[in-house]
Amino acid sequence: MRRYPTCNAAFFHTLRRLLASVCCLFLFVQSVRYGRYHFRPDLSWERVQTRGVLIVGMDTSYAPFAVMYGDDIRGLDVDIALEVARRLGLRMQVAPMGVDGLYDALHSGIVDALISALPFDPFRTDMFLYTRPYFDSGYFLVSREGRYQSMSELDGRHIAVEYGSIGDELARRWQRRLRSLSLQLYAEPNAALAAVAQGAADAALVDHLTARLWLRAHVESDLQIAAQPVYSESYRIVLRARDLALAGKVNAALESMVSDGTLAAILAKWLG
Amino acid sequence: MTHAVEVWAYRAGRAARWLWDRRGIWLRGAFLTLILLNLAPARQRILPEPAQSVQTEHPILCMHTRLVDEVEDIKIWRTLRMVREMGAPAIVEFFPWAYIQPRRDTYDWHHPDRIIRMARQQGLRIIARLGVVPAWARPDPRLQPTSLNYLPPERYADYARFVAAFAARYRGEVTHIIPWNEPNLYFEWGFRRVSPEEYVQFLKLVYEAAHEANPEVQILGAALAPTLEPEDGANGMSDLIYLRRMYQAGGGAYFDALAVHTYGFTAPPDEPPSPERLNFRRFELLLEIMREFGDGEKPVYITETSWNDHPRWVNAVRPSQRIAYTLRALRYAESAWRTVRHLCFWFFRAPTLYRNYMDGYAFVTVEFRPRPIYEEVQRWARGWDSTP
Repeated sequence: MRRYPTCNAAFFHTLRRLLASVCCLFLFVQSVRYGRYHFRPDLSWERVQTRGVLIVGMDTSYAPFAVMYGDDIRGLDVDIALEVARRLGLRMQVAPMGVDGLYDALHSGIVDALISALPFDPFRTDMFLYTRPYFDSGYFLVSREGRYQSMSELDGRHIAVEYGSIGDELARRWQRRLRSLSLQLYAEPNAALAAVAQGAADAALVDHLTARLWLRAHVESDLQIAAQPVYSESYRIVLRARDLALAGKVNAALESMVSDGTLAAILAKWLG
Repeated sequence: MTHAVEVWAYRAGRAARWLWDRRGIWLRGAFLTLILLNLAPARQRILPEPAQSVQTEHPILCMHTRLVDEVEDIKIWRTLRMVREMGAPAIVEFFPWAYIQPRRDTYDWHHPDRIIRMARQQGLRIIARLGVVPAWARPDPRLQPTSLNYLPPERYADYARFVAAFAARYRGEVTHIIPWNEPNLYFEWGFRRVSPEEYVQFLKLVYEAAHEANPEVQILGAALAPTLEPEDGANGMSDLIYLRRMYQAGGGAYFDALAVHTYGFTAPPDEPPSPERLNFRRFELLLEIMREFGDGEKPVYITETSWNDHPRWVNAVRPSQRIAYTLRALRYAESAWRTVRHLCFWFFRAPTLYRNYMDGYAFVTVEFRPRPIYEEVQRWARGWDSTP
């Protein structure tokens, strides 16, 4: 007795089986590849521990985060890296490089981590991990005695910004939202802060770094930075996505630095 | 009622079974086609709008757009609309030869067609830069690995034919074509030894082929990279030496106008030019050479200029300086450089972030948010209230 009524039916039956087998084989191979990549043992922490050194990539031309003084490298990022390494029981070694080469150096394994005033970049999270933030360099309102905490409170007021900056861009956007917001443009963010101190403007919208450095240089001033940013851009430590164990340790060290006030002390040392 | 539904379902099942048995191959084919059709992304349609014209008081303004890697129509349209609203009557756009002629006998005009149609609808003049060599015009990579800019002399005629085809297709739409880019750099010359004399031979072929196909088209001498490299430099040749040697080789006869790149870097636009300095007015040194060879009245298109305000680049300036320098440069070029037809700023908007200093050149963010420099240049170009 013939198994198939026609040759056509036999052909399609065989074709279906063949296709199903190929699909199953493909799925199996892909599953094995996925498993081998994602479930391989993470030895990143052991590797660094054995070496005893945490190698950190830094752009050493960005004051006050990291600057070279002869053979010495100093700055806020250097102090954070030293403290993180100390808490992990490691020595710290800086690998100085240009900002363009940082991510490539981390990806290719030249360094273990990047601490170099790097903001969170959602497009890189497939390959890199970001720790909790250690500094928000975004745009904050600065006003006398911290009178203004948000942009919506500035209706009918004068705001000082650096001409062409992100603060200027944000203020122009708020000009369209509020009934009246007078924009005062200055060539430098320091001039915008000075205008507020002199009473020529009600608030300034400047980046956090400039605001803190200006306040450190003008201790007599009654200007205060708002508690929340108008535009946030937080700096974080960056590690390879596959180095989950090391990232967990670094993040925990950073968390402990926040909770015991060490991070605040380092920020105060460099930024006032 | 339930019985009636059961009967209906039974009959529908029988009918489906009958169809599947008798016409199975067609049904399966139809299902597969339906699935495949639904996999393709839906075309985003731009609602038809009347042809626009640019309102400007300063037609010298021009923007270098980056539309070649833009996929969606809506983004191309929105970019061009914002350029028009800014008051810039012209754009410079790059059209890669390798995209348009992927095989020697095949042209795929669909992407340039889209860009040019939409730009013309917005009333914009297009200056087209043509480059990037397709694989078929380069040596076999197994025998000789080459870069995308490598064009051997025996293939110059192929490039000339492509330029002629481009000029003929867009007759009346694209009036200016720039063959190649910065041929005084090794990188741009495919890592071959740069040679102004060889570029003149190349330009002659292109000029003659393009004019034969479209007598109205203007062929621009490729813009040279402003560089302090010596004559036999490791990365290229000084733009001043290169232009002089181009003229000495008789190159002046083979371009209707000259394209120029001049960047300000950290210097203000009024800093005097000097052969040892890279600044905005370096163009005046090129102009002197043009005059020396009797070409001083030839039109000039500055197809790339700009200042950068990236916070972490050594050649960047503060955002306030960038706006001030840009406006001063426009005013200076308009009043002092009589033969300059357009001053085109690098660059209007990129399809994605570069994530490096290049982002500091953009006038509009990736999300189409106009940066303050856009608004200030728009205010100047449209003749609105004075800039601070």
